[in-house]
Amino acid sequence: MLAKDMVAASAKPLLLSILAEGESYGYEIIQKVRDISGGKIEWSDGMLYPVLHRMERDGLIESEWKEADSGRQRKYYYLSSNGRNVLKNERQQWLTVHNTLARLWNIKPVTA
Amino acid sequence: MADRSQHPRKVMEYKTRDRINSAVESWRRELAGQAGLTAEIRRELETHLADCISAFRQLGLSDEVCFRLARQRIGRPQKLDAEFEKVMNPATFWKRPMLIAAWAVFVVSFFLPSYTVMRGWQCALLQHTFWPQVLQGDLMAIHYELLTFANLLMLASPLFLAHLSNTVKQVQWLQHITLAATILVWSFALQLVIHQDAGGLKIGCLAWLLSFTLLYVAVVVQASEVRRSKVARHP
Repeated sequence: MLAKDMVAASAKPLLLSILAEGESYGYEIIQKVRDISGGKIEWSDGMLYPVLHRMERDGLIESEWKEADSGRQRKYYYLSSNGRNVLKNERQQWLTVHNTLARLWNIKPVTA
Repeated sequence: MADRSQHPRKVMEYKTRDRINSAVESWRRELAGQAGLTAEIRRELETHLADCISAFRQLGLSDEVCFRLARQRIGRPQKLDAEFEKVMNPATFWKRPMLIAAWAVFVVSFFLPSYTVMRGWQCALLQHTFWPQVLQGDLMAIHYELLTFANLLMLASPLFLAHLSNTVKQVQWLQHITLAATILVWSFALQLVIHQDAGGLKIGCLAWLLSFTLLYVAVVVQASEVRRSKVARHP
């Protein structure tokens, strides 16, 4: 399981990356993070929403209430153009950290 | 016969449903009781609860267990409210120039001549010699001793503003105690003037008085930001 500090630090790039693939809502986002990380990143359900709301306030994402196939109204989040630019920058920074550690640990680096 | 045997089971089902409905209602009320959770946030959390319950139902769990687990996953409403406050309205020491100025002036004042030839820190340490007068009920001595609390508040102010000023209630308290400390230090200086000791006051004392005034302004600014952010979230 990932340490609390790492979970907090990676929340923004993970959310931006998930929403870069298409719009999504809170419950689905948590499921995606769990599935993609193989259960290693566990987000507390309630804690996701404050982060989403802050990112929305900061103009990184936008939201819209829509009716899902089940007929249930859900708030869908999607990436804004500003969020897309921030994601590019985040990607570069995380790859720099990843590649630095990869070299130190003799693991194959990743190209951007 | 078949109908009669099914009757108790139906009654049980109705009772269970009633229990769940009342538990959901009570959860909704608890959410609504949190000042920071707007109607939209609550609606979103309710949708999340419904999604969780649907997922647990697919595992074959009873409705009662589904609701309990879903509620647990979302977390306590009070904790959610605090988390929203923290994330939407972060207050950090380094983002507060007025507070940094207050603290810097306060620290510097301790090394400057404050009263006659005594420096600020010497004046602060002098308080232990006033205890006999305090015990005799000398108001000036009591006033002097109380300045220790004001100084301690000033020393701890970066911590207070960083961690205990995120909610309207917290910042209101901070504003009250900072005002009390500011009145305390200014009234002490005023007393010296009244007792014609003003000539003994040096630049260190003036810096010390200024630092409390700056601290109060910093807290007032913080309070108005917190209130504004609250209004923005509750239009």
